[in-house]
Amino acid sequence: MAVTEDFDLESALAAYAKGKLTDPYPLYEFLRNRREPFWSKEVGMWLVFGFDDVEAGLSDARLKNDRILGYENALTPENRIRYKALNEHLSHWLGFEDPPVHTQSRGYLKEYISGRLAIRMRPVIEKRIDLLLDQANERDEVDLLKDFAYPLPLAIICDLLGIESGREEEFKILADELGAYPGNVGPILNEVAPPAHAALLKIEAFFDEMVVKRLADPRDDLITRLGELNKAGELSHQEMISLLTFVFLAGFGTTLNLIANGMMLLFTHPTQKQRLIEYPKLIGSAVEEFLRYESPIQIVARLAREDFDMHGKIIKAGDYVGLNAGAANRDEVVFPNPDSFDIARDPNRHIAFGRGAHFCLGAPLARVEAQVAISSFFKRFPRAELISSEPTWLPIISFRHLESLKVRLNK
Amino acid sequence: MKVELDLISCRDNGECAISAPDVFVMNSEGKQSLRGDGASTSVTFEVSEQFIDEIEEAIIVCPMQAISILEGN
Repeated sequence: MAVTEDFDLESALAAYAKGKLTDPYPLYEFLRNRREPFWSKEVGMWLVFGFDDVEAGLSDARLKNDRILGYENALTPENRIRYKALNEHLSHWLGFEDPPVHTQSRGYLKEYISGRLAIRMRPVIEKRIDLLLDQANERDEVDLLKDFAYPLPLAIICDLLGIESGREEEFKILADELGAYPGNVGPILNEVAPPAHAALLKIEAFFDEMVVKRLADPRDDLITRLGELNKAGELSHQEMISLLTFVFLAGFGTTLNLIANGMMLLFTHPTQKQRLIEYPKLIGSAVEEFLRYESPIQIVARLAREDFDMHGKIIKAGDYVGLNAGAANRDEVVFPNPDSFDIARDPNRHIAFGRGAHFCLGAPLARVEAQVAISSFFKRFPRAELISSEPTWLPIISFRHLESLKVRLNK
Repeated sequence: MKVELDLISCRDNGECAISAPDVFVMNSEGKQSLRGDGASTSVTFEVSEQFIDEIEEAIIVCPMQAISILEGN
């Protein structure tokens, strides 16, 4: 669908900045056609929409991941001291690190969160899904977001970390309180910091207790591995706790959204859904198309290290740059008929998992989870249909996150 | 089984050579060794069924989605 000449940029932008633009793709297309980056005062960053610019930006050394200064500057001087631990905690997340430190931290995780792990986890994932589908089968209507897309990745990521079963929800609540801090920008951080800081202290106690248990009785999980690295003096206590919260927050919501968005797309494109039911082998390329068409992470933020020119606009040192993967994945230069949803699209070199040094470590696991979850669901409930045809999205511009996904199973 | 490697998408990341060392090898310059003279856009080759686990892992780790198992094998 091509953007028309009477496209109302002002009202689209106003809605977009509030996260209220249900369909942001015409706006993306309009701004992508201008080529130059767009400065959004409301969002507080330069927005980049073209595939080539986003792809290059993800590996551009002039754009750094370390955005801690932005958080420090937003806090009042007293809060900066009081909540120093929060900024230090974030500074050890892979998403805030640059090479060479990033390369080392990533190495600690990569050894464990590998393709092999994803293959090894497949039976665990299948078992969990069967259980969730059995539970769904007891009802006529379910909310696939709450009852399926949420519990699956929560169970899997907790299993991977080594969080004891029965304590997943307790940890999830703490992680959300902590995650609200990096999820905000500007003066509001002064209000978000106290509960996030309190949650961080509880998370530290939570993991400290578990590390002691795992070191006494080692298991094949991330807490055991990082606990051993800490004991050997390779990893500081702070780094260990940071890597654990990072893996959880990076791996949970994104996978939830991939599964929910993929299911929503199939329900709203019945011909494609039928095609998948008839040819289950298409699930691999279907998941890649979900990633492209409704990318869970829409914007990847970076901070400019130096002044530079991008298509005639001067980006200043210290400016935030938002690389819009969601828009890049609809760029017609790379994807013919970009707004057409095609589960057999080939080639599909989408950028939903990023590129280069920061390429999503959990991509193999996310792929397996989504493939198994969605194919198992439609195998069991091929006649399921949406209750309301209009999907509602949460008002967040960085993520594509549905509010709910209510379906009638038609068993 | 028949496996296809799309050489246009491939960026020589080398993840496949870690996941499927019996199938994919990086040459001394760090390039995908199946590239050959650089003229072809893709290569299709026969892989023994015993390496199915390796191939499946290579498919899910490839950052460029460049590897696929061809249908009708």
